[in-house]
Amino acid sequence: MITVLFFGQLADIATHELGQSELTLPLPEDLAEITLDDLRLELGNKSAKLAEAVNKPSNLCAINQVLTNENVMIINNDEVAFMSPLSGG
Amino acid sequence: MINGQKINLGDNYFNASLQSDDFSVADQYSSLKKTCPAAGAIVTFTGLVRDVAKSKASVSSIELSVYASMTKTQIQQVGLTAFEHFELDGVDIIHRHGKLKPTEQIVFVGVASKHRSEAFSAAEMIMDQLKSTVAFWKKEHYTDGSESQWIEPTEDDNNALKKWSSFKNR
Repeated sequence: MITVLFFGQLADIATHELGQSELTLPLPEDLAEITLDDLRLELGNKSAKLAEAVNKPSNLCAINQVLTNENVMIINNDEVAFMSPLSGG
Repeated sequence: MINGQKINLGDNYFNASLQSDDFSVADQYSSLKKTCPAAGAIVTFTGLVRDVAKSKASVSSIELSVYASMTKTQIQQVGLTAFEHFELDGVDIIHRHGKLKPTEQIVFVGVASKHRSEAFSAAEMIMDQLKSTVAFWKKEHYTDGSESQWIEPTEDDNNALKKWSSFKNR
């Protein structure tokens, strides 16, 4: 299973589109890993609006709490977070 | 300490906390003063919730959400980066999350150093990093009932961050 989390404005959009800001998705049966882009496509199957928001260049992505700009591989038990621009302080 | 866990930095004092509870600036200042007897300067900064938004709308509250596991680690990294780049005796960072009303305290940064210039610069660097590189999201709610808005980093925030672009968080 992959845990997919949404933060900031993306959490609002996910909740509006899917009823929750946290998803648990199974890997396809015959695959041990998928790419981040595969996951983005899968989100698009669930909600085009959410996928469009997630794919905005200003938004961020972290795999297991580490930010990434790459199309990295995702394996079972990974935690993927899609995040709106950060705003602390 | 980070949320109760002491970080070993030799004789230096380091606290990095993510919490919903309020804090006392006087208590944090006293802790830094007591634990850093070699310091000749302590700079403190406190960030507050404003009652007016950039759009001039009257703010009823803000909501600060976090990705707790990542946010805690990143606050700690910002503090460690400050130790790495400045000669510091102590660093104390407290950042709150949850729903906060105007005039409430959001963030505290306290830096103790032998000399003031290092303390001023380190406090500024820590705040600039907390604003735009740590997993916080801020939503403004308004007294007139208009639609709440997520706050995004401003050009000023991004420019402030550029000053420290050669600094890499550990």
